[in-house]
Amino acid sequence: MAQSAPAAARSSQPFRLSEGGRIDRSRSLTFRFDDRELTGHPGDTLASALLANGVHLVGRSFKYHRPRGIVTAGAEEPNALVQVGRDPRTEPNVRATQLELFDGLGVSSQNRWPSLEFDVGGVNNLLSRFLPAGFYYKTFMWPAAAWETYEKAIRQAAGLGLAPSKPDPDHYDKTFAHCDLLVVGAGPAGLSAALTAARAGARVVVAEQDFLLGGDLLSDRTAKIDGRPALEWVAEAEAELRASDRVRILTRTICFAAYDHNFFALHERVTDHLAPADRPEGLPRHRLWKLRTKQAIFATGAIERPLVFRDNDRPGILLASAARSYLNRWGVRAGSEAVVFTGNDSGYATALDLKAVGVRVNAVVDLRAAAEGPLSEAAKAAGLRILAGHAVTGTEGDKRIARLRAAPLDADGKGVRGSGQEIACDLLVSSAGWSPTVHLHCQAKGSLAWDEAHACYLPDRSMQKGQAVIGSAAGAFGLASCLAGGEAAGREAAGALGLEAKASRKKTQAEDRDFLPMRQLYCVPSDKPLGQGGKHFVDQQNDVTAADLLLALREGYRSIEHVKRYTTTGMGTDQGKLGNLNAIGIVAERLGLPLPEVGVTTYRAPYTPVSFGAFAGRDVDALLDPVRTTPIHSWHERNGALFEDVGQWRRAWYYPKAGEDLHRAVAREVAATRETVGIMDATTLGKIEIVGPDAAELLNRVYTNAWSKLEVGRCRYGLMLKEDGMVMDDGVTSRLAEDRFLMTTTTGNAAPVLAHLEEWLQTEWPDLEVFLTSVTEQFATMTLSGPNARKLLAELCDLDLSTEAFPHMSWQEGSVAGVPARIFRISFTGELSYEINVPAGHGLSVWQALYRHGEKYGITPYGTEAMHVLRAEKGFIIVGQETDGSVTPLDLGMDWIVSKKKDFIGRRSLSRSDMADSGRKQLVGLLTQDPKVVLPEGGALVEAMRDATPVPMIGHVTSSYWSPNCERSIALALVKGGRARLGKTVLCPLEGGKTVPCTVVEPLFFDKEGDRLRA
Amino acid sequence: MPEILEHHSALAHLGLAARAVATRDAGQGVGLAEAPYRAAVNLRGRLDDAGFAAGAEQALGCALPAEVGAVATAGELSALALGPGEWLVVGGSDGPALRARLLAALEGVFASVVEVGQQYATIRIAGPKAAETLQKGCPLDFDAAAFPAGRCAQSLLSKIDVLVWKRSEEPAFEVTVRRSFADYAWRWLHDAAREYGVAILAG
Amino acid sequence: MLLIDCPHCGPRAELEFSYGHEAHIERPKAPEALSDAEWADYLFLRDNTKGVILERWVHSHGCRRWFNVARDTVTYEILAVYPMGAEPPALERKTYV
Repeated sequence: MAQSAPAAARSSQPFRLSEGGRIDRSRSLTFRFDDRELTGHPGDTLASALLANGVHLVGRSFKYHRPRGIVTAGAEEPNALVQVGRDPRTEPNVRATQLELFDGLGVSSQNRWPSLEFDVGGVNNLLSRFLPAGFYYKTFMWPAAAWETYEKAIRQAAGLGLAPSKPDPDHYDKTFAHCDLLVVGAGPAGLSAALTAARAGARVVVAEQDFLLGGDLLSDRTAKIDGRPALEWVAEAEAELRASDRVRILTRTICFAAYDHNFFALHERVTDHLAPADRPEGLPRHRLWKLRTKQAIFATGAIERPLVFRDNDRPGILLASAARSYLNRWGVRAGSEAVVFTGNDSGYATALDLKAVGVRVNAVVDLRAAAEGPLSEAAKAAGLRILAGHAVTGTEGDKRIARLRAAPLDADGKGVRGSGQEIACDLLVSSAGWSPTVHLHCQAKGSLAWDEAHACYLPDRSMQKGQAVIGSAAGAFGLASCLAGGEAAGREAAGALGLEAKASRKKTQAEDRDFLPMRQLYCVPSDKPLGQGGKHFVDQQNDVTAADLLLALREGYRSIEHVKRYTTTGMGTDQGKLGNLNAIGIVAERLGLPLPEVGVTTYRAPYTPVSFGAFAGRDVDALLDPVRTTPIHSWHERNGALFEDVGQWRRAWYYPKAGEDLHRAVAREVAATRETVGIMDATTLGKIEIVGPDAAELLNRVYTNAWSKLEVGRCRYGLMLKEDGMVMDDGVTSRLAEDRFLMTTTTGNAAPVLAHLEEWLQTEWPDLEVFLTSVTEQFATMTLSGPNARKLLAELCDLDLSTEAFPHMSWQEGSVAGVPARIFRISFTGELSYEINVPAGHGLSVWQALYRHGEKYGITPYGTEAMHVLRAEKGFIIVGQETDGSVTPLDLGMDWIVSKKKDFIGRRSLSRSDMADSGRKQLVGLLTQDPKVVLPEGGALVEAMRDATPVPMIGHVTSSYWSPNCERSIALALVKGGRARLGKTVLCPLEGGKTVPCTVVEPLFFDKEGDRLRA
Repeated sequence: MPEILEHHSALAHLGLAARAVATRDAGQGVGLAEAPYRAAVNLRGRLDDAGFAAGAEQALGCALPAEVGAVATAGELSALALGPGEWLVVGGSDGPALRARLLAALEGVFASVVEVGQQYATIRIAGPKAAETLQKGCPLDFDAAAFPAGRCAQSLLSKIDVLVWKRSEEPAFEVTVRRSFADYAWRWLHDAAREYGVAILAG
Repeated sequence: MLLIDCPHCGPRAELEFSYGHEAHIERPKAPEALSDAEWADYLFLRDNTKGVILERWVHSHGCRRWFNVARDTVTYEILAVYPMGAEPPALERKTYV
């Protein structure tokens, strides 16, 4: 546990009040901001601690590099974005207003060089005339060749913070969750709803983005519930909820996305608020919750809107409610001389609270012709100087506001009279009204309705059943309405769950204050035309001004979605939480449209940024994807195998001896298999047991060839097409009994083929009496291949292995090394071959027994690479290598396997006129004219090279190897009109300019008569 | 005379027996164990076929449950309803014998009896945090009311198919996976349970 | 992430299912009697209704059974789940402009 210093002397934190606030004054925390060491207290955010120390300048703006300060006290913060920690445990763009202070926290400001105080990028501000919105659409285009140089510079300038340069050292987690009721937001409305539903027996999850419950009540000095301080009510509600094992409270958790059918994603910051040394080992840094709920209640509150006036972005200009939060929740005064600029009654709450702690309130500048409303009256009574019908027309002060000008407004609010008066201030707060936080409702496709009186969008109808919006998020701005609305929603949710919520015995007593009356000016005029003498910022994070919005309209953009993207307003990490409605209002006024006709831009997840780590959870590194291994895997490892991934399987690729590379190892494995005996692990191939009187009929319908007459004990190769006629899979299928077959598939298609067969049986042929069961992993399969395969197997097997008793393409049951086995005499190598299936748990032992006995024959384990070479020598296709979903059996020259008599899946497609086209790619073999040259797999093929590009491609190389048995390279390829080109030359152009001439041949290179496998 | 060849379980390579703690208790967190090999048969048939229903009941000693997710037990055998007309019959250690018994009882009936005991591995996860651990990777609801004792369900755990069976009121689940996914399932569960404290128990 | 009520297993997350596109498309009894264009229509052409559609789903990571669903593609509300091979229940086949 880190030691914290005793309470510091008063000369540090000069703006901390001597009492008040939800902070622990008995403990002092030390933190670093750039090169300064400062102190704060537990309970502080970085923002409140910085303000307590009088630090307002916290960053430089994105484009103009203007000095910027803290604006808000919450998730809507546009400016105070800091880089936390050191590479690699570093995170950029962290909102100082939500970053909890801990001892030893180190942060740096962003987007400035060499320092915050003196930033070279500030020259952009001087050049701002040439850098309006969308300037990059008209620049960086000439000369075209210089683009790559421009691009480097743009990449340097883009973005705000720095990404880590090394892998993330923290670990994260994800979890599913279920509940009856999700309540998002633990302010008075949310807590009421949660209490009511929990008391009725519902399983409740409460998600609160803050580390304390209470919402706006945390910032309110005077609010009372039932005659007692509101925070006492909050504490009791929290205690009751925490005592229930059916309630889960998630703090520091943002519900950032609403998905279908009341499925929500929540981002919990589990340990970010603790010093790294204090983070419990085993806890994830963040946790992603994937929650399905039956009922959802959004009690997400409302965010105050700032006024848009000339040069409204200087450090020291905050939201009125933010200054009040810093005062009441953190005991911090954000300045010494304040001016409140408001168009509604709620701004006066800040004026009153500032005055109450001794901050000089030099004036309240009120847009309204008359200052009316309960708080306005109280302010008048307190003797505050109020300039009604006035506007702030400009501000001054380099890295902190020092003074402003205020002038009387014209009656229509479009201009001011004269140049007004100067008022000194180091703190200017503004309030343009409140925007209900409707994001989750809108993400779930809920509709909005415009409330003209409150100048805000309210949630109208939910698209998804079982959702409700309450509290100020629903336009109930008074405390009593929040409490009552929450209880009603909780009762309704409980009722929908079949639970009964008892009505409360008495009505909760609280004030029910609104912020009306209000005068809404989306853009406050100054004594100069818009764009002159200063900037009216609408989106501070992306440096978008009111003039930029008007420019977009002049350029012809009308849709608010286009205006947004052209100017980038609302596209920063704050997603326009402060600026969007002001932008819409400015656009509406210029277009002469009622605001709701301009509409809103689409609400999308996430509400606030979510770490990549949270999305990945623990599915990283070794847990990224399952690694499937066969029961024989440990033997391959011990015997030096290298592995390749075949889907999720890790298969032995080749077994290099000392000093061997891939080429030499494979050459040795291939030669040994043809000379004596090789052994291969073939366990991964799919196996499906097909049982029932209609088993053969099913095979007839899914394979291109006929199956009814296959005898018990025999095996046959089958080709499976999709209905579009393209090859889907192949494999050998054996008849185990009259009504039983064992089908095999390729490794990668084991599951897809089973799914394919089930689909046809269930949806098209429910009358067929047949069942399918996967047995891929019931058996381990090892292949013995080569002239000595029979001799070796005979030592361990009780069966008659003579070719008369056990012919090629047949199977028998017996035992191998004492273990019950099913042996298939099938060959993929072209050699005498036995595929031995034993129960999986005996796979390793049987392999070891075969190997021990095989050593005297020079038995050689061979992997997938050698297997590929051996089958290519015989011209056997591999699905997925010679085929790619666009290849038919006719393209492969496999007409012999396509029945002319019966219908099967894909048959009709084979007679499409397109399929007979001689220009189709056909399977051929290729022999390079220089036998030592091995073509690259995937290599393009052309008829002739020419200077003019592009050169028409007539095909590509599908498989290519060095064949030790043929003592030259061999390749298979798909070539347009391939069979008509037999004997002709094609070229394979290589990287670097060389071309390789090859002769087109039949795709069969070794043992053309097939004598070896019939031995 | 060929030697009796060793039978390897799916997680043999992890050497769990040597790493198991003596106590059978999961403490406050999670206990993991690889369940010993048990015979299993995948049984398919139509319950509305009297011959099938009767034959199966005679072979197993209990009627096959009709409802998906239900489990019927008689002696050492249990029949888990995986889907309409599909059951996993588990129990004992002689797979071929179990299969033979069912085949004999279902002679002449349209049915499928396939031995699959070698195909699966079962991990037992127990303790106060067992449900929460599974909940991390599985979209089922593991609340006691939603997943009562005696029920089974097929679903996903992280990226793999699983069959989850809550055999009793005890806070414990049997997680059955395909053999080749057992290694990943074990590592995943062990990693997921770390924050609660995880102990390897004897199977 | 839809919540789909599998007729056999009960309500499950969409994660456990695979999508089967438009329902009630029967394989032609005599494919050879169809022109190439008619065959291509069967193979490739599907409705894309803004409104209630009838679609197929399979519970891939559960009971592996296919079934039919009536779903509104605007609201994503699932109006009905009915067995594979059955006729759709009577319901309002709402469409939007």
